[in-house]
Amino acid sequence: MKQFTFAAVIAATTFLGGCKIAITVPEGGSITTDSGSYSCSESSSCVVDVSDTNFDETFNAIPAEGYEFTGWKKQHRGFCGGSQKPCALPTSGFVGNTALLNFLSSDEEFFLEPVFVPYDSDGVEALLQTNANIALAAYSDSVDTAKDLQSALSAFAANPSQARLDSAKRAWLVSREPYGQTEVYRFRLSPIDSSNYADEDGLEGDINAWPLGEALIDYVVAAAPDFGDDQVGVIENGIGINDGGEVDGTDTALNIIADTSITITKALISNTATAGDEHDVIAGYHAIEFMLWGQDLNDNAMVTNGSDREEAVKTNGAGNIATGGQRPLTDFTSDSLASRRLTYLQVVAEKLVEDLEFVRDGWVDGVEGNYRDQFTSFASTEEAIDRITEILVGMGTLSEGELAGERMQIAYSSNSQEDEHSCFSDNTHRDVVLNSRGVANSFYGVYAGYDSDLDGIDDETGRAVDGFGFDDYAQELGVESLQDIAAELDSRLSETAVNVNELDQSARNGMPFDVLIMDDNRNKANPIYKAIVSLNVQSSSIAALAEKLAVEVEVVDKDASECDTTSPDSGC
Amino acid sequence: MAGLASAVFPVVKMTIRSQIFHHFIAAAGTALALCVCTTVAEPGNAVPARLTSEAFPGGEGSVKFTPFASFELPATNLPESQRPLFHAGKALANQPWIKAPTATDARDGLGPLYNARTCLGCHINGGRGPVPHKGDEAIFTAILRLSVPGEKDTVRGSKPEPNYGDQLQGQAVALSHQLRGKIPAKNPATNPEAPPEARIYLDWLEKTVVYNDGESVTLRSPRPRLEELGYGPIDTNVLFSLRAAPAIHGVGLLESIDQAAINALADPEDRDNDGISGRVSQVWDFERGVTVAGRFGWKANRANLRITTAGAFQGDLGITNPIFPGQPCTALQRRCQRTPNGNDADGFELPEHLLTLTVGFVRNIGVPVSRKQTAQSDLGRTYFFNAGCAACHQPSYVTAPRSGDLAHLGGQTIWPYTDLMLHDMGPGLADSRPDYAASGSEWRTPPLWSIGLSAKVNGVATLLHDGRARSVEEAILWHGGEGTAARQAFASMGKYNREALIAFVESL
Repeated sequence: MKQFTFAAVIAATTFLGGCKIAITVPEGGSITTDSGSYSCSESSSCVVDVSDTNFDETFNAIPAEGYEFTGWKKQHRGFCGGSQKPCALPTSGFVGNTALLNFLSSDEEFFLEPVFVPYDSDGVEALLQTNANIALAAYSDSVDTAKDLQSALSAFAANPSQARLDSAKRAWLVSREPYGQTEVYRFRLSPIDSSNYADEDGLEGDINAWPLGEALIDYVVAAAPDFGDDQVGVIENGIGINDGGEVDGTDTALNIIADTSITITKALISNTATAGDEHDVIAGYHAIEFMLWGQDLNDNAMVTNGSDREEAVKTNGAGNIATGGQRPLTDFTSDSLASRRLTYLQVVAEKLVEDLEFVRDGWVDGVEGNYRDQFTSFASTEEAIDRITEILVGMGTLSEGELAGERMQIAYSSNSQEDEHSCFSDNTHRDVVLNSRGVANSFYGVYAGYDSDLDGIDDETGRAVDGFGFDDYAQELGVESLQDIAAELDSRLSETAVNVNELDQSARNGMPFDVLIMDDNRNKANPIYKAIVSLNVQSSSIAALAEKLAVEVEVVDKDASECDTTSPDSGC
Repeated sequence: MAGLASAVFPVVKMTIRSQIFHHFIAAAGTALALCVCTTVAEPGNAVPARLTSEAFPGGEGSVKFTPFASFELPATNLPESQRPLFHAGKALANQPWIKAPTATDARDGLGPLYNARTCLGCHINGGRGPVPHKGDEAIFTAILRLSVPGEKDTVRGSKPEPNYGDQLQGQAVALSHQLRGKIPAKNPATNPEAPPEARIYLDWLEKTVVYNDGESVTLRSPRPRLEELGYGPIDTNVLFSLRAAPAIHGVGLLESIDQAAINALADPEDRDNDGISGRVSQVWDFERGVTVAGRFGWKANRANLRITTAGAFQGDLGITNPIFPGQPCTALQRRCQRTPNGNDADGFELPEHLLTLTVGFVRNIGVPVSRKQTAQSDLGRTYFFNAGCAACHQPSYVTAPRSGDLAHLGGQTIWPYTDLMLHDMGPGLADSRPDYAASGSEWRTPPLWSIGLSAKVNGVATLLHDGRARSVEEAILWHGGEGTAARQAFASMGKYNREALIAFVESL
């Protein structure tokens, strides 16, 4: 940043000191006054001495090509903060006002700084429409695949067989393929996290929450070798619940399946993860996953001879049919509680479909007042920037805090199988791949469809979107510094894609997420480690992009009063 | 109270000055530095010049946030290398703990008795927890501490109620509780599951305060009411203390304040006769096995963030850990003791490395930048100091140097507005329940930073230990005891000035 000071054009007359206006002009425009006596060019700092009542100047901010002036920066002692109008400083009006005249004669320093943002209204419009189109496509595919899952479960319930159990598992795995790509729409009060686009009361907790409260749903095995001394207390105290033995009539009343006095309905499993922290997670994708696969109990997770955790894992030839848990078919056939399990599966599936439909409907085009309607319309530059911020907050939060942190780092750093996303099916590698792909989708403005046969190739492309992304926006605006950031993010997204694909391949080759997180495998060559690192690096680029496109959007301060330009003593 | 001058800027003067100079080198220089000297030297309720650093209450780690206000974002100056660990710790604070047993020993073991399933279930978005406003809504996001009169246990700081212990847990992992209202009720006599200790409700009493200008304010205070006691009768002399979940941002900075700086403010005998007799709390250090100064919690009953966090894991979530290895069941609660636990091979539900991660998350939550100052809030700042609020709500410190992974917390100029000491707040606020060194009417000065953001963070705008105050104004009006003079100064102001003072507090 160049630094230069104006010569004192106005001679000091009756006052000894003189207040100063420190002007900072960032990239993207310049400042000039009405009289033309003062100007301050792009990327420079200037100081103006104001010491008498003859200083009647109005400062104009002039944006450069590709930029828009969004207002004067709000800051302590900042002139015209928040205003988008030319900034007038009529010191002749100070005459007779002792307080203002005292300011003039003091050594006080005030600040003036314009905010220039790369901006184009049509570009933003295209960006938002694409973002909404991808959401609609991915949620619609989620609904369809959940319905397929529901059908598979109905078929299984009608006539339980190993083949139908396998095809239900396959349908579950397929249903995760589009849904995983929608998670970038979280963290922004979009329909998944909010029913009314204002409160954080969305259905996400009923759709995709985990860790699951499996011990409340059905029997769980304790004292298995994997647990070490975990359940010694249970055995000592001799309570015959959840004790790993065969489920029978004596294990009454302590989980939903076993307590036959409980009627399994949608109401029973609704709002379980959301309402005031009162209940365990017993609904959604992972409840179905637990019911189909059961606990993943392979003992020490070493890849050995097919008798433990790696048995779970799809192998090259098996087409990604994860079999993490080993729930026996007899749980659904000869067991006395078999019909209750089948009912539970069907009830959860029915609710899942309804919940997903509700979320999808928030994205449908042409519905007045729904989320899409509000999201894609904006009345001002500020609102447009808010919308862009929404997208970027979702991308950044999912990349760093959620995926790299809460979904990977915690499991990785503590060998915690329950903290892996899809712990019953060993499908966590897909969650990672699809979540990170969702972030990339938002950046490039594309959705390639999903993988309907689990071979790693997106073959269901009926709703594919190829639209206008941030890369296109940067190109269109022609702002070089913005293009640099977009190019950097492009390369970081690619790096993440390489790392998560390595994780995917590792799982497909017999080394799934829960094996990779074991203490012995924790090293810098581990694809989980590499993916965490690259997601973090990618999130700083997203933050840089947000900073560039949405500088100084003080959303939090929106309802705070604005500084009054005409009274410089208001100390804003 | 020691000299008021050091009260305003309590840390060693030279340290402050060099810090101030550092901040102002680019700005106005001499004039402001002069102001600082004046402030430090001048006695009385002087108003110090406003400093640029006040806009950044959490020092260089202060966070800007768009589009949502949050008290769960990492401090801006948290090194990149520590961020993954921050988010891993957040996962432990954020994702639900579940009933044992499960396929892991890392994430199960909730309860059997508990108040909340996650840390952030009460400290919502890192902010304060709500209390129910209606008498028919049970408490799920605050806790009720219990004790009985008599000789205090040095280690626990109170004498626990024999049947129910020192904290009432309103939830249990029992299926009959989890699906309460959705499934047929069980016969409590034959149900083998451990029930919650009670359902806790609040009845609200109201009273009205009238200002000199005729304007009135209705204040309310809660009386706990217990129903469905799960483990027999409760002692008739039981003492209750309702504690709302406090906001958790910036606590790593508070932990980094040198104890000597706090001790220097103490004046237990009120030798300077200003009516304010701050006392440093004395509590048990569960790791070192000695009594030490306390600074966290509504009664400053915890020594540091490790013990605070571990204590909350055990007491609030029922998650055992290396510092508090016991389940939250009293000796008389057999069904609770017989419920499966989620211990690992070492006997803990939360092993040391996971406790470390969670504490790391808590320690590194950034403090939001302050709200924009307006003419009104600037005026309110003057009244804040004039009224003597700053005597207990100490504005600023420079944190002690820290090293290693904590280096970024050290040497920061912070503006928390607390002296972290105990003050007698009078009978109106008293819970009559002693807690370590704190008497039934003593409370720790809570920090004021970000107080105006609370409602934006999670919709909870209530203040004070039991959430009785619905606004900053009500909270001020509850001040009694050592806070009487300051409250009277506030109450005798005109409406505009009262609002100005509140605007300042909400801008912090």
